[in-house]
This record gives sequence, C-alpha cells and structure tokens, in this order.
Amino acid sequence: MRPLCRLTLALLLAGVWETGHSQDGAAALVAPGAVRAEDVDNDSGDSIRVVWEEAVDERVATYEAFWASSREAIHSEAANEEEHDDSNRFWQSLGNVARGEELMAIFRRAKPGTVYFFKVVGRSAEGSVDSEIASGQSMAQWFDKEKLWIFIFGVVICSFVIYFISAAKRGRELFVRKIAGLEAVDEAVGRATEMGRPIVFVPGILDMDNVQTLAGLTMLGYVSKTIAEYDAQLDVPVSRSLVMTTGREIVKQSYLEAGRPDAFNEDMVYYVTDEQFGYVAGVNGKLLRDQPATCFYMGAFFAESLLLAETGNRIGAIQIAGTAMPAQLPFFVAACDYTLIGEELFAASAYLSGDPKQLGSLKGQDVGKIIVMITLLLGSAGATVAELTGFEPFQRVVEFLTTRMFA
Amino acid sequence: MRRQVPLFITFVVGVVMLVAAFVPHPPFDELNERLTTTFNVLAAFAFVLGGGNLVKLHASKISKVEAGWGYSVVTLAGFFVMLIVGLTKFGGPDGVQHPLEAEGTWYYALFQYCFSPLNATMFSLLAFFIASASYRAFRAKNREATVLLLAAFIILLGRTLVGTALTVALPGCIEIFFSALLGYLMWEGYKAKRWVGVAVASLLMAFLLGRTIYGYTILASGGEFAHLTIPGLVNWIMLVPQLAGQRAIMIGICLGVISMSLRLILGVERSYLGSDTE
Repeated sequence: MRPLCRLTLALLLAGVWETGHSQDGAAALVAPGAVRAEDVDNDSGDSIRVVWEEAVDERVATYEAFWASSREAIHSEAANEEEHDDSNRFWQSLGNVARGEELMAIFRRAKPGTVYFFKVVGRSAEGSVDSEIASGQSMAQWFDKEKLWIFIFGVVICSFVIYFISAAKRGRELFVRKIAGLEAVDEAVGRATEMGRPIVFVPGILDMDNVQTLAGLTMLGYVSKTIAEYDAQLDVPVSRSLVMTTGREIVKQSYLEAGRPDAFNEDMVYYVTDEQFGYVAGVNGKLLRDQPATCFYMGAFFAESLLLAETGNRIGAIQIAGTAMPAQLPFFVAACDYTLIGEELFAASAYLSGDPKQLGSLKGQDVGKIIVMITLLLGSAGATVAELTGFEPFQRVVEFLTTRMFA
Repeated sequence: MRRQVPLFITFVVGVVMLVAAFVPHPPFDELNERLTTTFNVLAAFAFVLGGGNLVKLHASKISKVEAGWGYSVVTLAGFFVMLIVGLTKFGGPDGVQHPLEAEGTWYYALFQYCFSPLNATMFSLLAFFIASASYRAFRAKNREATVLLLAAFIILLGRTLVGTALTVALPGCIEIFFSALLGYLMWEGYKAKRWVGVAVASLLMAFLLGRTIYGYTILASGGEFAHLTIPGLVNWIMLVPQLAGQRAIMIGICLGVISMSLRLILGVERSYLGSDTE
C-alpha cells in the first residue's frame, strides 16, 4: 500500500503544481494556441509578425507577446518549469493585446536571416500561462508588391512623357493652352519698370530638397532675365542659405544671358532667416517700406502665404503666385491677381522657355490626366451600378479598385 | 564639365531614388534617410553663408546710413545677442555643460519671453488678414464669386451656434431660403427672357424643394434627416464638392511633380544650374 500512497500523494502534488499560478484550487489556465512567426512582406527584412489563436480558456483576458534572440531562452523556459527561476532576462516584450482584439504583434528589430524566438503569455486575474515557443526569421524583398500599381502607372506616365519629349525633339508641333498668370509676367515686369519700383520674388520657404522650391527657382531664372532686359530692380529675399546660393547663380546667369552682367548685384538675392514668421516680418517690412510694383510668390508656402499676399495687395502691387500647397491656394486666389494652381507651377518653366522638349513633357502629363479621368469615370460608374444593382462582378471590380489598385 | 558633372549626379541620384522607392532590399532601404541626413549636414554648413550674408548686408546698410538703417541695428543686435547667449549658455548652473534650452538659461528666457510672443503676434495677424481677404473674395462680382459666397455663407453658418439654432427652429430652412433666392432669379430671368437660366434655376429649385419635402416626410415618421440640418449640409459640402476639387488639384500636382522630376533627371530642365542653355 505504501508505494500506492506515495504515488497518489505525488499525483496530488503534481496536480497542485499543474494549476500553476492559479489560486484557490481553480482549474489551470489553458495556454494561447498556435503561435506563428511570419516574415512581414514587402520590407527590408527588419520585421517579423507574431500571430496566435485566441485561448480557449475564456478567463484569459490579455496577452503579452515576447521575443528572444538567444537559444538560451528556450533552455531557460525548461529551467523555469523545474526551478521556478526568473527567465525574463532572455525575453523582451512586444506589447499587450486584449482579448477580442487582433491577435498580432510585430517585431521590428530583426536582422534578415537570423532566427528569433517568440512566445505569448496569456494573463487572467488568476495568473498567467505561457504558450509554446515559435521561431521565425525575416527576409528582405527585392520588390514592394504593395506598390505594384503605382509602379505600373508611373511607368506608363513616364513612358508618355519621354515619348512626347522625343517627339518634340523630332520637330512635332505641340499645342499648349495659355496660362494667364504666365502671360502676365511681361506686363507685371513692364509695369514695375515704368513705375521705377522694385520687383520682389519670393521662392517659398522650403529648402532645395523640395521640388516646389526648384520650380520656383526655375521660374526665377526666366523672370530675372526679363527684369534684366527691362532694366528693372530685383529683390529676392530667401529663407534658406542653399536657396540663396542657388538663386544667386540663377540670377547671375540670367543677367549674363540678357547681356546685362554689369547690372547684376549679388545682394539682389539675400538671406533673411530660417524662421517662418521672422521671415514674414522681414519681407512684409520690406514690402511696406519699398512699395514694390510687382510681387512673385513661387514655391512652397504655409501660413505666411496670406500674410505676404495681403500686404502686397495693400500696397497695390501686381501679384502673381504659384504653389502646390492645396491649403494655401484659396489665400493666393483671394489676394493675388494671378495664381498658378498646383501643376501650373511645375509647368511654368517649360511654358516660359518655349523649349519644345520641355513642352513635350507637359503633353505627357496631359496623357496622365486622361488616364486618371478614364479610371475615375469607370470607377464611379462601376461603383454606382454595383450599389444600385448589387451585381457581383461590378462589386468585385470596385473592391479591386479600392483595396488593391488604389489602396 | 561645369554643367556635365551636376547633370550626371542629378541623373544617377534621381534614378537611384526612383529604384529605392520600389525596392525595400538593402542597401536601398536606408538610402532616402541617409541622403536626407547628408542634405541636412550640407544645409547646416550653408547656414554660415546665410548668417554671413545677413551680417554683411545689414552692416553695410548701417555704415552707409541707408534708409531704414535703424531696422538693421535691431536685426544685428537680435542676431548677436542670441548667438552669444546661445554659444556661452549664460545662466545655466553647470556653465556650458547645461542644456541650451533648459529653464533658467538666458537663452530660454529670450526664447520664451521675446521670440515666442513675437512669433505669436505675427501669426495672430492672420486673423485680420483672413477677414479682409474674405471680404474681397466673397464679393459677388461674377458667377463663380457668387457660388463661393453662398458656399462660404453656409459653411460659416453651419460652423457656428447660429446654424444649429436655426436648424432646431426650422429644419430645412437653408433649402427654403435658397429656393426663395432661385425663385427671385427665375422671375428676373423670365422678365429678361433668359429661358436657359430660368430652366436651370427651376430644376435646382425643384430639387431643393423636393428633398425638403422628402426630409419632412422622414421627420414626420420619426426618423432623422441629416441633410435638413445646416451642419449636415456643411459636412456634405466639405466632404463632396470641396474634397473632390481638392483631390483634382492633388492629382494635377502629382502629375506635375512626375513631369518636373523627369525633366530634371533627364537633364531637359537645366535652369536650376544657372542657365537653360549649354
């Protein structure tokens, strides 16, 4: 009988231990099921997604995912079961997830090709329970499949732009509609010349790494050439040092091309400050003191757009503005005589140069617009029909457009 | 060579950045970040040029006692005071080891009590400028301006307490108001024998009155009809016509950026190098 008693006692003790961290002799918590570690697609191999199934045991209210890079973490788990020591030094948390939420955590510090270990700890008011340990590794991809449709559209539009540039090189005649704001440049410069007042050109407040600043500076090239020809006075306050250096080069070259190198003075392009409102204060003060006859605002603008344009309006200057900041366009439209809206700013240099190659690129851009318009019309019609009729093929097309193509 | 080397660099960097946009594999994944850092370092060095230019320009104005030289004195004083206080970290208990923006330093005091209020003052001017610009923009001088005025009127009304109060008192009042306005326009069109205008106005009026009656039937049966409220109408204007227009502009901008970037990468656009010719 004695061995039987020992066995019974041992089983009872084992049963108490199995309930683990549970209290009051309640049944042991059941671990979260099926933990998987998957490589995250379309990345540089720095992320692994950890997913798991909801614990059958409804007492589990939250989960905490852990990662470890060392194999010792697994051995420490075994040791933990036997010796109850603290194995947390190998495991680092990936965050908590509540029951009912998406059961997923992302590990973002992976090195491609390295094996990592993951576990999920289910927690309840009564205690906690560990899942099985899963392992996984990440891989870097050579193409971001999520950007496939952007790539296709980009290639198509770029192909048309390049085709029209080469067609223009071969001598094909291209029609470009008139842009009122650019047609008015000569008139605006001429007015300033007649009045004997300066012309102010503001190339936005961002640096040379912004395409709007580049567009503004290319415009400055043509405007300053006209100014040199008219022998008017140019004033270019800038808010970035690199823009100042580039602007000076551009204006100098324009004066050379106009045959007026003697009229060039590098202080025409000068630095004010990098600070947004400090810059506005400086330029507005200049506008009020010098009373220029013409103001150009070409580039990237933020809240200062209206402060500048309203001051220019108050002194009665002809104002031509251009920006690709949609939020600032209404301000320029309200306060300026002419406004280049969005794409017109980028078209300005091509338009003013009259260079067939550059005009060709505008034609390619127009083909892009046609493609967008057709897609929009088809998408809108498809969505309307799908909504009205519930016809499944249309619903699939709409779903494809919204979730895959333009997600 | 002066022109060919920058064009070559632009081409190579442009193509590499295009590739990096679609290839997440190293070394392309960190290129954007590294090039941005490189640019920031360059821009930081270039600041010396800007600061130097500022000092030179204003010192010259002061020495020649040009018109407005007093402003140059203020500018240079501000520049040097901030520069010296920033470099020496005056006021910090640990001298230069103290963090620059830490409370108690002179730099902190100047920033907090001089720079910030001045910045806020300039920004606050926007409120007055918006009022004067709105007054000019909303004058009904042509058809487009009239549409703008009406839309602005509805938005202003809907975003204030008055809009909500009016809606509670009389659901659909804005539709009825515009129907009355259209009725007046129809009468004017009829007198001037502008039949197309009369037809358009009557269609619009029928639409507005129709949806008001429809809304009232929904209300009568205990339901809610969001469009009968002015805030509801405001939401519709902001989410449908306004958003559609803004997206159209954004699409145009994206195409413009693609075209401009290609011109730069292919070397078709060269004026940023100082000239548009070889």
